[in-house]
Amino acid sequence: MHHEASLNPVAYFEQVEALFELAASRAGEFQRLFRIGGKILQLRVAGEPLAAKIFPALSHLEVEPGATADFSFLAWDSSRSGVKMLPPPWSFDYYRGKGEIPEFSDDEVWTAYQHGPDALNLWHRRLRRGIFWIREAEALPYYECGAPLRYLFQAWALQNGCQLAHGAAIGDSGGGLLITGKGGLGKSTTAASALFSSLLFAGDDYILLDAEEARAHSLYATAKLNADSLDWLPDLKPSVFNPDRDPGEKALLRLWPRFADRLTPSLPLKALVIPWVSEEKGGGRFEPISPIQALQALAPSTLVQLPGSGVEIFPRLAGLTKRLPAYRFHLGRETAKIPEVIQEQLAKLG
Amino acid sequence: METEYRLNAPKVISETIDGETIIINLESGNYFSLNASGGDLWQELARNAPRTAILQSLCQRYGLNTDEAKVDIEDFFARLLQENLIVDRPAASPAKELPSQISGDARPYEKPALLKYEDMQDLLLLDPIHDVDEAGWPLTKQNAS
Repeated sequence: MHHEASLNPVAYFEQVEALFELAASRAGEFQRLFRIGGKILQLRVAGEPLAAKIFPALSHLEVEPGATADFSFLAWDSSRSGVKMLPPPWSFDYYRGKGEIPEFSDDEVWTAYQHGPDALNLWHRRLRRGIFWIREAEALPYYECGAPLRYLFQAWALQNGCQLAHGAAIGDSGGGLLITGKGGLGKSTTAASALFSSLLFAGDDYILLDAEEARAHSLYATAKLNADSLDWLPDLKPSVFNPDRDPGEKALLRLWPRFADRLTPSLPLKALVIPWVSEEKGGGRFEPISPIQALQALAPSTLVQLPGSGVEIFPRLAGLTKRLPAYRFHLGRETAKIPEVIQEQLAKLG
Repeated sequence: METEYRLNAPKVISETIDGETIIINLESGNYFSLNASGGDLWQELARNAPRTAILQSLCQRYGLNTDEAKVDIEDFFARLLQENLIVDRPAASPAKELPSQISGDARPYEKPALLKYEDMQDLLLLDPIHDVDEAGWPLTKQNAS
């Protein structure tokens, strides 16, 4: 393989960054600023096709030009720009399960290759600058359009004592619920039902979690629903981004600008909730569960889906489950009444 | 001399809260829960307690005779080894300077048991690389044409 011992991670980062600049000059640069977790992200994308795939999920967090960026991401593809990527200077057997390449990461640069979308992610800790590269923007899968750049967000978050978590967050001005658990249990149905109420929505699939502060920051104004959930919430159908999806794909909803007044950049968390599809009457009911049951829902799916050291992340998640009460939410048959039950529970939590 | 065991950290992480334990094998994606006596034994392993001390603590806590407890412990350790949750450690290595974490009233004795959850397997791409492009970049199967 193309192993070049002389090319260290920093030198490789610098060369790939130069390729981004070349791609941006050829394909055109699209630049926007976003406020994420209270910090300003400058996102520079080379070429319109990739910009069109990435920007919409983050639109609710966009800020006016002029703010000073705290960190930046550079995203490009080879197809639009015609700029070829450098070959990988690491051996083929260096890839770990989540695509991390520890042998080509050091104190300054973190390297990971995202299997599935086939995207390279480089994060420069000192410069607080990330690079995302994919062969062809058009090939970016729908689920990546729903939660773009999450490997880079994770690298940035971990450097700042936060992390991404697999879960939805909804609530009101007083605080919210982190709804977690593996797919198919009703997490997205619960979160999406909030869009037709006075509840606020911070995320459906991934949120930026400050476990120490027990706070969920919004990353993506999207939701993913299976066919059943979409039938239960038919008013969401106009927001589906992939109406011609394959049978195995979920419906991806873009929530901005339609639900702009429901989207919140941040929610203090009052409780952890694991949904459970049931045949309860009405909107459902909450049942207290133990911290370990909550951790069992939150930790494995977060650790398996997102890069980062489990040794570092797991204790934070455990700490959160010790600080917050946890409930199983038995979803009722009447989806329209779910928000009401959630509002009652939030009121009880004070 | 009998083999001593330790938790397979950092590949395996765990947390015990209010007597309930979750264990995650970060390599396989499988996670586990323990019943009360299994949790007691896990706590002892976490502080590198020698087998003799583990046996003694289980007998005392649940009023068991040594032979009965020994069989149960061996069966339980075999399960933990099977799932790569514990590994051998040099018998001479001292126990960590940690007091036993076992406290509170013991529940009625049940054999130590490990419950396994494999539902994260679908999300974990253990060996996703199936092809390589002309530049040397991996192509996962669905993207390879």
